[in-house]
Amino acid sequence: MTAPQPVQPLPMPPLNDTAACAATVERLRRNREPRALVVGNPNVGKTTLVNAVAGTNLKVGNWSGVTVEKREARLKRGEQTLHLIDLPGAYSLSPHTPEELISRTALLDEAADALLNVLDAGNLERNLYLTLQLLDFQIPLALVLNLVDEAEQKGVVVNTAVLSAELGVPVVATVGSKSQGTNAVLPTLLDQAQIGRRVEYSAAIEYAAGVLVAHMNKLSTLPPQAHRYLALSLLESDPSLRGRLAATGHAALLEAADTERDRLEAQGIDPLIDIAEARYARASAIAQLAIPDAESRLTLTEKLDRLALHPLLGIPIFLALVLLVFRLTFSVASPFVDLIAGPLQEVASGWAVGLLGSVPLLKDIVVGAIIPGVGTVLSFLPTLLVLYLAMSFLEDSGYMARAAFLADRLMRGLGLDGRAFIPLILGFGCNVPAVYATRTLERRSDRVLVSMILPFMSCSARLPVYVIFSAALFPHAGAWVVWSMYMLGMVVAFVFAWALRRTSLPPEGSGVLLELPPYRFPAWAVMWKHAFRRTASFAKRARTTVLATVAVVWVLLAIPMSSGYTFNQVPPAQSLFGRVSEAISPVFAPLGFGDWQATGALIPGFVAKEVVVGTLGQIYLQEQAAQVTSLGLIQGVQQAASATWEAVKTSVAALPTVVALPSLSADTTAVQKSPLATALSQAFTPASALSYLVFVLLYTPCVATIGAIQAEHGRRVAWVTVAYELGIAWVAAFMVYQVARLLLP
Amino acid sequence: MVNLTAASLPSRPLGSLSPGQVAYVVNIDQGHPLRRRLLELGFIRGARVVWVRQAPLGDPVQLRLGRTDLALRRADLQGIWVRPEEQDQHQLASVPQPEQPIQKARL
Repeated sequence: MTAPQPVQPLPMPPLNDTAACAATVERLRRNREPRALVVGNPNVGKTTLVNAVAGTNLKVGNWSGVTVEKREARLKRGEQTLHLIDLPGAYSLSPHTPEELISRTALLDEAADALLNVLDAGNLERNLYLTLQLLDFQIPLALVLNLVDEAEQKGVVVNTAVLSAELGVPVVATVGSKSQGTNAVLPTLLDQAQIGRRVEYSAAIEYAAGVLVAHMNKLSTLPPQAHRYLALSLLESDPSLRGRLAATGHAALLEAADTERDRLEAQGIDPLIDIAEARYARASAIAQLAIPDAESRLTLTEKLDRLALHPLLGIPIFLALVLLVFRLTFSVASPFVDLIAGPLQEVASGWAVGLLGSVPLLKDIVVGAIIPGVGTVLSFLPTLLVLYLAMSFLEDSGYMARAAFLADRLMRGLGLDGRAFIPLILGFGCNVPAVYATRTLERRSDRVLVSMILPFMSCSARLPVYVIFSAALFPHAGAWVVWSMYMLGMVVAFVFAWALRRTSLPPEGSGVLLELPPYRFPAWAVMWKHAFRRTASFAKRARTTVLATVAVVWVLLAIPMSSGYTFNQVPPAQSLFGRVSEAISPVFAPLGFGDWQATGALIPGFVAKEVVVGTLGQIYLQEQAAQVTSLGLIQGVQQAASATWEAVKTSVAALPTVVALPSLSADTTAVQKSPLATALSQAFTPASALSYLVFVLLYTPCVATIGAIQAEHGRRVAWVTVAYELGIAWVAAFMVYQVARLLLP
Repeated sequence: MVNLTAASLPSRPLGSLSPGQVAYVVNIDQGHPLRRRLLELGFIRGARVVWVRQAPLGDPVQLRLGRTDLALRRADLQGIWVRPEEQDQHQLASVPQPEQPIQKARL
């Protein structure tokens, strides 16, 4: 390669020092196993492709930003091990998002032996922009033209031979989700990847880039295969790259770049525009050659969008889908939740009694703490699995992006974009997956903000508390009480978010850009894998926190605080738990429920909200924990099997009712005459009951949610959230109590 | 991609288009918060943009650039300058448009 015609004489080394680059790659290859980076635009099926090629099980979704960190798959071919590194989606290598920064950093630091660029065949021109940037790296490249089936439906047939000839790199056509063509990917990458034909920019740009490359050649601190890319990015004045170079002692290089930029600007050239236009001109020319006769068809996506984004029907359709997801979660998952919390735990306890009956203390620990603890974790799983399956369907199909489009206007006031609406909606089902769903947001401050307000979304576990109190104290207005709890949660969430935006989490950056991907029918196998993986990851992450908390509550209940009782043989009131509750209870006196019973029931609610009702029963009715009868192995298996069969039947029978209209008051009459309702109607006044419900709605996320927030954003955010929410719950319940006391009899 | 017949028309902000209208990009203001990103997505001089629809709540707006559908907020459409395609030119098959201009009946 020779330098472009210089405008003024300067000693110039060749722009593409291929020999030096090859030597570097060779040196690295000797020392370790080869590594290839998988790069591509968001939502082109990189992860699906890596899974198909490597037989791994990485997460996928039809949603930009599913891969938020780099992930690695190891492949064996004969003696050779190849590391395939799946990078998050990037439209370009000038990073705008944390994901793009991860991709760019990997390209600069990994000293990859080869690059695998995955492209969407249906959107060739735009995808080529990134390819042309990759060609500025002196790293062998192979292209995968993915989603060719979808492109053909759109009337786009890409001639891969022409594409390969134009770019000077090998091209494989694939359908990753159906494993078509994926066998050819690995051999092509390993044996044929090449340093291809790079874009020729205008003479002025090439000259300026040449000067900067010459400067870098003298430094030997920057990877030689990236010199040309770095030079061009400096001319584009990429802020994050400048920051990084400044921090690593390259001030002289930055100065040289400024000189070159000034010189270009003096000639009336804006390098950013010049470079983008040159790349698009090249991309457009290649696309026209490779797609000789593109027809324009009215695609399925456009037809579906006319309905899904219809000015009048769009929002009702969205709400109906959300409702459908919840009803699916309730009716399909809840029989299994009941199965785990009820019969299966009874069987496990029965076995434990049978086996450990001779060692009372050990038996009590197992039956009183370990089995309920494990049971609590397990009882989340059916709900999560169903919710995740539904979510995967909406994500993989492309509908989530439409939901973000519809909801964007609502979220604007909070400095969020439409994507933030999805985790909030999911929060009504269960806060835990909702916290993980915040990952799809681009900015960290947005993710933290949404996670912090999420627990105010009344999750399904809080509903039983509302139902029993409504039945006890508001028999004629039960539905309204329940409804107003949901509304209050949303109002508080929005007010809290608004306050956070103005204090500790100001909105970062500006400008919102959503991509609306074509609709795709999700592959069932992928959805199942995806949902299982997420559910299992919850069980893995949350089990320690949940188990520890259940154990602590059990120990507190077991320690006697007055004489005459022994360890684990003590009524709740005389236990350490009772005393702790009593000590805390004056705090709640201004809220109208300052006795130890009401306070005591709130403590296990910290573990899981569904426990509150059970504890209320235990305390108010002095219910002893049901006497566990010893079970033999066979008996236990029979009992578990028949209960499981019942759960399956109930769940299947519930499927058709999913589409029926919802009813808020369904359960109230059934529980109205229960002994607990009677007890509560004596212990609470309408005002103190309302205040109690408001407190239960707002007071703290359950341990599983705290665990999720901690996993996503760190310990500090998690405990700050808990502290804030306790405070807000107290204030809100106080206000409700004081107002209600005046208004209600 | 570049439409020369529209060159004589004055440029307008992208936000001033109406549903179904086609336009060609002229320029993006220097200070536009998404300038770099939009250039990389192909909002370069002469690129053809179709205004597909606005969201039911009025914002954001769905645009089609090449074969990509994007949503941008109205606020971000300011500072993107375009020249609209002339009315009688070929219309995009995929965007619904009335066959004839709708005339209000006068009583």
